[in-house]
Amino acid sequence: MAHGAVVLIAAVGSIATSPPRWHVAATPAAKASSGKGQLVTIEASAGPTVMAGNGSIGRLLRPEGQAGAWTGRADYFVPPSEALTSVGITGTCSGGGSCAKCEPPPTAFVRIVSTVEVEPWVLDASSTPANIDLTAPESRPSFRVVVAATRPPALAVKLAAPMAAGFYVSEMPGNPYVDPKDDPQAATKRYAFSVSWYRDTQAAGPWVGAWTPSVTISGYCKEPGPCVVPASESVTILSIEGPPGSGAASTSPPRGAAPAGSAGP
Amino acid sequence: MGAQGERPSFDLPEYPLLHPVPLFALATLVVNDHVLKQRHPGWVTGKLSDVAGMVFFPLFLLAVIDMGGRLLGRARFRRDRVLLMCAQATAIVFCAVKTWAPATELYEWGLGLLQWPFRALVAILGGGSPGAVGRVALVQDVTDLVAVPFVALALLVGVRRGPPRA
Repeated sequence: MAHGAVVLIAAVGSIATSPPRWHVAATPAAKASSGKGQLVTIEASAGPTVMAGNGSIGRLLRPEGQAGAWTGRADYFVPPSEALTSVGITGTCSGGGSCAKCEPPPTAFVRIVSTVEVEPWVLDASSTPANIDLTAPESRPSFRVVVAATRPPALAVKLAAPMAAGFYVSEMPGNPYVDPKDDPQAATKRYAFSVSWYRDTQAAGPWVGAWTPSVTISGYCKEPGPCVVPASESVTILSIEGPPGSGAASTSPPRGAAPAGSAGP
Repeated sequence: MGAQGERPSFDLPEYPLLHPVPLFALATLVVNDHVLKQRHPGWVTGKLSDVAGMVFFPLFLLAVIDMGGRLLGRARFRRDRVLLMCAQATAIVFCAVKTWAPATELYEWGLGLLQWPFRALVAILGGGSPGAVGRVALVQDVTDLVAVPFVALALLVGVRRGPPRA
């Protein structure tokens, strides 16, 4: 009897261990005209989570020119190839796991104040191809791509030829980071990505191929006139670390073999 | 004790969850989550529930498996091995949800789903709508892994030296 009661209390205690979360969202604006970027001004009662993407890969947008605490209002730049996918703030209800309904506090709000189309600049860089071999059914090769950039980059993956494979791209925790060899005051910071491959079990192959990572940074021109990439901006793929035989470095020190970036439209 | 040369075996108490240590851990978890975290948010209260959970949760899992076994009328299984598996599973899942984003997200939605019937019931009894399933909040913090070694306490409580097997 006592044992059953303790098991019941333990079950309820385990279920109620984490507090519920509330969420307030704003409706994202439509995608910009072809070739244009968007400057979205957002007001919120707390630092919002702003996501953008191009359909397959979503990423977190950071506020323009705001590095410290949330001031209540900020601009977010959406690159020309992407659209805003979600804007929201979250918080937790006190009394961890209580049965009361978890409602946002009356002071919580997030709204898109304005969305303006802007002339973008785009700077990209790519690297030499790396090989993947998914012949073994259990193989799930993973690569670490290290990028040096003056602002948060977006990473894309291109296959040299069609393959029966899929992949996940995720930003490593701790981005951006400063390598001990780097100048901590420099505008260029390092960003690490993980690219994990898996075999498409529904297909009959091919299982072997090559892929190329490419990274892009973008911004917008505040002044009217021709929009060119500012000289102070740069993006470079420093290294690709992968399994032996992939053609990528398999040791952790990054290589400096990086093709020069090229300005895009 | 048995004859010389016989290997000592390890047996488990009938109800290890009733040992003072897991009972204290369970009380600590409930009080810390519902009172202390709100009144004294900080490092200590942030870790206390993790430590308490590592102590009592493997024994709770064992108790659930025991009850299931009794209900199904199954023969007694090697409970020491089951407890070891429960401890390993607790530690592995805890490490995953604290360090790996997909596991954190799965935990947040999974626990939100388990909490939903209670919230819906209270809302309906209060004349409101049950509302949608929401996710819970979990802080992803690698330093929370300091709680993992405390899973050994569950093993120490659960496993006691018993009479040698025949």
